[in-house]
Amino acid sequence: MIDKFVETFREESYELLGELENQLLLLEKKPEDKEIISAVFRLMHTIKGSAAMFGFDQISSLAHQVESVLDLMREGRIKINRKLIDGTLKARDLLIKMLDTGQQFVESLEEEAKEVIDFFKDFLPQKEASTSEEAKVVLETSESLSETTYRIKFIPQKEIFLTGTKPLHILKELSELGEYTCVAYPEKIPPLKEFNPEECLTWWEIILTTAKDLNTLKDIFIFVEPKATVEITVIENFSNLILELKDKRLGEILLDKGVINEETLKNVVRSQKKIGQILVEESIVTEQELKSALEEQHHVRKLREKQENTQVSATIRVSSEKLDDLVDLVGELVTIQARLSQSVMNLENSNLTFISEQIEHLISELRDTSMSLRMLPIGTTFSKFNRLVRDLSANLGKEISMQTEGGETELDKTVIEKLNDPLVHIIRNCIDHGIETPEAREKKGKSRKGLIKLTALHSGGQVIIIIEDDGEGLNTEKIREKAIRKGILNPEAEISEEQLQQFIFMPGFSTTENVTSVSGRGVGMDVVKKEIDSLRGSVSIQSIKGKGTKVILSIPLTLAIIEGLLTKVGEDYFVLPLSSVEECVELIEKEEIRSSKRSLINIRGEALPYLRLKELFEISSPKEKIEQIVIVKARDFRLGIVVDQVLGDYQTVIKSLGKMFKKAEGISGATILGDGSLALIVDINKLSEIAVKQEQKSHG
Amino acid sequence: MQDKQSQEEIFFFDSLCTIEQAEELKVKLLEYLEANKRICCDCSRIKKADLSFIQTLYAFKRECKKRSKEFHLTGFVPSSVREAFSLGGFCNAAPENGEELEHFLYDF
Repeated sequence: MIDKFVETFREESYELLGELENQLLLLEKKPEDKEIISAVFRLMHTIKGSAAMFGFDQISSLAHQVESVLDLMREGRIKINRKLIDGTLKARDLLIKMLDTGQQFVESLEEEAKEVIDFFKDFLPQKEASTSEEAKVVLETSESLSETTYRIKFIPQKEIFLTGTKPLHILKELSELGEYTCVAYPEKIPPLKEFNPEECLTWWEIILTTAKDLNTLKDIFIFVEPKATVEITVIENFSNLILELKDKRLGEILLDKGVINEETLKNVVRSQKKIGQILVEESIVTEQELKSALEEQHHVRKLREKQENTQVSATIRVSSEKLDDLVDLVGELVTIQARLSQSVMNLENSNLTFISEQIEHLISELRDTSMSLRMLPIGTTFSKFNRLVRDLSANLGKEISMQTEGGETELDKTVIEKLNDPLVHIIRNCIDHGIETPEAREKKGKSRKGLIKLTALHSGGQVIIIIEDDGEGLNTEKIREKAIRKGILNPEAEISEEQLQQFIFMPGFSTTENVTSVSGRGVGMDVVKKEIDSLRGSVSIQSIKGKGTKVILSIPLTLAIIEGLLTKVGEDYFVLPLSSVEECVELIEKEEIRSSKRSLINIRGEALPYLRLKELFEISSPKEKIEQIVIVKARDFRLGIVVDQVLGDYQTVIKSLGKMFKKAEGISGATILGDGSLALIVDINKLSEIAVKQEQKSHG
Repeated sequence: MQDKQSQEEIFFFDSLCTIEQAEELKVKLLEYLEANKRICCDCSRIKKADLSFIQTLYAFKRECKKRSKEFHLTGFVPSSVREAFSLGGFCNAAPENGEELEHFLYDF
């Protein structure tokens, strides 16, 4: 149980540290932006507090040291410079390492932690470094001008100890924020024999006067909500509260002491005149004025209640494994539903058909909803590369900035995870080989600072990711030489620039003379291609010498379920991804323009190349009189795929092929049909490559 | 832990009084309660105490009350224990002396 909560803490800390990195990189660009400074401080403060709560003392103490310096930064007492950002980024990396180890005390990192702590100590003035308490007093005095008083009601869930959370740590954190008064309510604690010491039966009411904002207070409770009840209200008129507390306490004290009993107290309260009543009787205020004031009071109370209610979090955290299981189950459901539909169709019973259609509709919605749960914006991955570009360009003495566009474009979580490595490879190449040194750029009349741009956009069922730089571009001459040397290109062959550029996706193909630690071992781009192929995607490159390079990735939105077009060739079934399908037409023999080397069809005046699946997959069945041709779009290329029959659209649950079929060209997966038979999913990109090769062959 | 040799009637809490030892502490306190008429607890050996300790102490006091047994805190109260009481809002002052502290605890 505790492990589960510690795991949640770690997951959330990774997120916070990810955000911290983004904010630090932004801060480096805008060192005067107070909002960013506050965000950085808040993030470190939350990490410190939550680590302390879960007993990660080493993490908490490191974060505390950094936080002290960030606090001075917030006060404008320390100037933000690259050294400080570097140090904070280093501390952030160390915190990640500490979390990675998953232990509460990380001995191996102790030395590194000491180094980081010493670095930050240097930023603290002598007095503050030695007595941080005194430093806090100085800071708090300057903050006292805009203080707010909050009333906090904190009722932890009984099982809070089992989650590893320590309520006293939470209270300690609150006490550090300002003037703190806390009252515990231990009345639910029974006599020892009936008492379960692993349950928390105490709750608290805290009055806190602080210069910190509501978010800072909420952050302290981040790991106990939503199970615990946390109500934070701003007290508009603190003196009223004091009166209220005073009155409340008096009755309680007198009752507790046994001076009066409950009945006497009730009678006294009943006979007591209300302030409003006295004021009206004394003609100090009119009845109308009193009524209006009471209404106002009622209104404010209602608003406060409403505000409190809206503070309830609208999101929940679910483990990705559970989401994967859900998508798998939905996949199974889709398959079963297809079988049901088919069986019902054979029965020809209108009632059953109606129910089956309803189920189909619901399952289709369930599929879309469950798939959308796993969709994440690619921007999170993009922002990680800011750090890579920053650090690597500095190492290589280059000046490079990064721009992103379309970060909100969503992709399946699994696809995003698998995209990380290929993107790192490509960006490293851009930095190492693509973009020139500032001096070289100046000589070429370019700006000293190079640019890497990441763009994401939707295109049908695909997401297109473009990574472009404004560097020197690919040297096609060198590529040509290398291809000839490796024996993969005939020295006499006439080949376009674009075709030459595609050679860099071949294994072991690197034209760089200097192998660096960054890239250039020739294991980069072929690995990228392999990874992208495994995602059923495609990669291409466009480069202009002296101007820059553009790598274009085309990735399917999801790897789980797609809308497909079910077709039949002989006795075999094939599914074509519907997002690539443009139209279906009949292939009439006379319209074929066929020679021994070329297969073209005339579609409304356009000659399109086509492939016959029957020939490609060597299916022996008699040729149909009228075949169907499905026109698909792959990259910027239109292609016809000839099949015997088009059966209609089909929700395709993608199953991967076993190892034996891994090398089956043109097939990216399989699916199970309603009657239990198998259909193969056609890899449109691969087919287009085959078609291009055939075209090239036909041209000699 | 009850100190049987020197001060037989006094129950000395161990150095660690946190959630990990809470169940064990409950058992020891109940045994001590069965064996003694006058209940006297000493916090001076405690090095680390958390909320589970404070709650157990409250529960123990209530058990004593139920059985009509006299309960007292005694001895020196270390700063870590005092801090837990005052930070947790169980008292508005946490003196070093056990007898005095007892009187400052709310709803005790």
